[in-house]
Amino acid sequence: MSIDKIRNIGISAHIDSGKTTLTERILYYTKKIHAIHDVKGKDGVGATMDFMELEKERGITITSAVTNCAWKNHSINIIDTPGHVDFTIEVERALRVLDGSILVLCAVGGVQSQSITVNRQMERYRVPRIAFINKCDRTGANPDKVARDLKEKLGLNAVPLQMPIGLEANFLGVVDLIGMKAYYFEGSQGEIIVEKEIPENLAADAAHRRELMLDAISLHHEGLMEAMLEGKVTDDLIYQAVRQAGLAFKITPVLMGSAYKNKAVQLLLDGVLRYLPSPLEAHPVAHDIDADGADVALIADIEKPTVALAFKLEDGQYGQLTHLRIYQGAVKKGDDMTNTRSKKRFRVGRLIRMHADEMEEITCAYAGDLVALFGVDCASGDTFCDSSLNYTLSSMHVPEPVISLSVTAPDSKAEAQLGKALNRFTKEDPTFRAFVDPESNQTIIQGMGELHLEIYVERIKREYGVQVITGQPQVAYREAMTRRVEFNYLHKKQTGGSGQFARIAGFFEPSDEGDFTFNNEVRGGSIPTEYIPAIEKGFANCMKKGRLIGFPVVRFSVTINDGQYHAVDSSDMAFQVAAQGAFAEYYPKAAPCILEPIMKVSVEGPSEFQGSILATLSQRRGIILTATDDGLFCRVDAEVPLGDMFGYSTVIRSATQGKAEFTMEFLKYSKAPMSKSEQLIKEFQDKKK
Amino acid sequence: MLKKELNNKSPLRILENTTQGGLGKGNLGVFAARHGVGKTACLVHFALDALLQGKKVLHLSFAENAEHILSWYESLFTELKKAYKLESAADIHDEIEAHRLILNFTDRHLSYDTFKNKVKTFIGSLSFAPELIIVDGYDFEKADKEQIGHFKQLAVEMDAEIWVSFPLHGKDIVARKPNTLPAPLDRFNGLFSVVILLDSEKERVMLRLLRDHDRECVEDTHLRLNPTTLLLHENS
Repeated sequence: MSIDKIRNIGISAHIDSGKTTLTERILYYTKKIHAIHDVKGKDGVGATMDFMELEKERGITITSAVTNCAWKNHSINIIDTPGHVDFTIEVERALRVLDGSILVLCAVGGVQSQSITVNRQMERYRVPRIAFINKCDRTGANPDKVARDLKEKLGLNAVPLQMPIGLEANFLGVVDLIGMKAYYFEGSQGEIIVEKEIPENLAADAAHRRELMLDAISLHHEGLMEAMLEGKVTDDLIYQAVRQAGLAFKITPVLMGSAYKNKAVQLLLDGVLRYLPSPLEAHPVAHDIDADGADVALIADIEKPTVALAFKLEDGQYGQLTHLRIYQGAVKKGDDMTNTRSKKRFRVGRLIRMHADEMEEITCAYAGDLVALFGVDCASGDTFCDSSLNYTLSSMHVPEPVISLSVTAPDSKAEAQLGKALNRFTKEDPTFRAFVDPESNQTIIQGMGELHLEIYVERIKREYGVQVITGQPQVAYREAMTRRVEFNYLHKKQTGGSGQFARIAGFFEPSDEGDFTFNNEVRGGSIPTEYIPAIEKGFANCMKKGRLIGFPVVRFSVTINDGQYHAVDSSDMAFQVAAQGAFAEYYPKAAPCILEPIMKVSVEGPSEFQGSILATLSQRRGIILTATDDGLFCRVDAEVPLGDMFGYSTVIRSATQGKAEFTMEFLKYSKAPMSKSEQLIKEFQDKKK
Repeated sequence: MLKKELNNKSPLRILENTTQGGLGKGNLGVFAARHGVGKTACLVHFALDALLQGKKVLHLSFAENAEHILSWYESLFTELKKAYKLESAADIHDEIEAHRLILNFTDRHLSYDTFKNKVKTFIGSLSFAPELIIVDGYDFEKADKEQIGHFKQLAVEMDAEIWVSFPLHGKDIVARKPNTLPAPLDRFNGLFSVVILLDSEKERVMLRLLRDHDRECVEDTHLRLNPTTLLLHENS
């Protein structure tokens, strides 16, 4: 297959926009599968791309899945991704290796919180996109509003290329504004495309929308502009103009339909071929390690030396399966390649093309392909090259975890299994972390949300037979001084033999600049310069554990302006100890307070639940910042202490019949209220006893 | 400067003195001007002034997104902090957030009844009783006397002051006869207790008092809008 006939695309969106349902229809119409199964269908089979039992049971996509299909002599590699922010790493890794994307939006919900996140991710990796407004059959569907949302909320120059024929229960098909024809989808699964003239009652509207469309596109294509002036616009010219403008990120083509009702998916596939790039039009860049990381443009040429990126790992019964995107050259069974991070050479063993969880053995793959290898020891984000090259590709962005849980195995036998499980999952998923807290000796797991951790706890149980005991995550508090305090501290031990002597004087004060600032204002040599770093080190060490509740001290500035030394007994150690002593003695006098992490929480749901949403937040000491009502949906943004957010996903689910979703991200540290502080101090002191 | 001092020195105290002690609960006040002259800035400064006095403020807007309004508050608070060297600014900022609610409607053509129900549900679920309500971006240009009357009624029901922004066209300001309100504000004579016109002349925006409760007047309030900080200042 010629590389220009390959499309590598992702399907990304907010939760429940219809990504997996859309992918199922794509696989059906491209004859990759012979029957359509719904995401939470009555037949209990589940959609093709949701192959994990947990996915089928819950009706959500947890891991991204790769498949390949063919449409009109083109080969399309598709990665269906999850919509929950908990599984955002799957979207990151997919968009990192794909050339184009379909941004799916619900015709009712429009641009929602995760739509904004995935759009940002597409921007990050400069992935051209088509927007597909799905669910035009649902009550409240308003594709025009969604197209406006794309402009106003995502800043995209959205250009609808279609208009709906009817909406909601009366949604029958779409009008293609380029060919000016109406399309209907008949047959039991909408597989028969019927082209007709535009209904009379829609003709004027269609003509007007076409004008708007051409105006919008022609701003970015001189040829189209000239043709419009001369009255010589052809369909092919418009396709060309849309493609060019779309690949240059000047416009975002918008198509629409209903995947569930089997309408207009085939036209979307045509759009993928027409408007999304082939690997030849992507511009991947590697860095030459041997040339100080200089940029090297990769060429999708099968004759060139191989460069590929390992973007996903899966540990299964046959060993580690490594998913690769080949950017340059070819990968054949038996080839020698090098992992340029670990410098390890390996021979290509089994080479696989994936279709969801099914594997097809192949003997070679080429630039532009998405394939998988068995038996290679590597990490996510590693670059594989032909042995003649020493390139590295930039890895995917890995967001920081936002939530922690303590986990304990029920017995020592289970502990070993738990260890295995955590090793595997942390290797597969960089946003899932596990470590042992050195202070509490607890095993802590961290993730992107409650659902994220819930899924892993369930997988540990099902796949490793360990029912872990989970505990409330430890909130990362901080301590801070609120008052300036002068100090003057003498450290002296002179009881025979070499002693220690150091006196330091200065002041502590709260600071807005960074966590720790050290200022040396000693004059006249009262403390020799060589001891100043030791004093700074002493204070820096104290910062790690405050004296109120043992959490790090932040926003702390210390200035030393005087002191005293002894010619024999002064040393780095003496001044370091002096600093620690000064901190221990004077810190309580600086009126330290406890800071708690405050999260920016965004909850979106139907307007009818606005009251419930507000109540759930204010019950958690949330400060409502803004609420937006756009008629059917509302969005509430609030600042809520992290310590009060645990269990919130269950609460919001039950308060809104599962129709609201929330996201949260760290915002700032704020002073904890007196009652909370007293409780934390008491707990800390009880633990010390 | 401490918060108490700032409140005493605020230029809005001048406006209160000029308007017989301020707008008063149950009344409607309006900032009228051409687009882009500074109505939102004035409303947000008013809101901040009330928040700094410990009052609860409900900001109702009709904008593309609520973050935009939030950034107005952040921006003006930062300017206030700098201009008056406000002490304990971080704590004051937290207090302000706790006393302010912003409710944004993306549909500018919402019917008044739907709007009122949503507002009441919103504040009811939080048991929030605002003393000042800001309404910014509502399509008052197309409103009739009955709709404005509803807002006045709302002010009475909620026992709050309501300040709104009202867009004007340049030609209407120029065509205004002395001692009258510019069109289309003149249609609502009697419903707005205080009317302030933002009059841009040369490079300054002056606040002119066109109506003060039962007085029709054209008075210089001695306040101007600083085009850089977007804060209200005493005209000097």
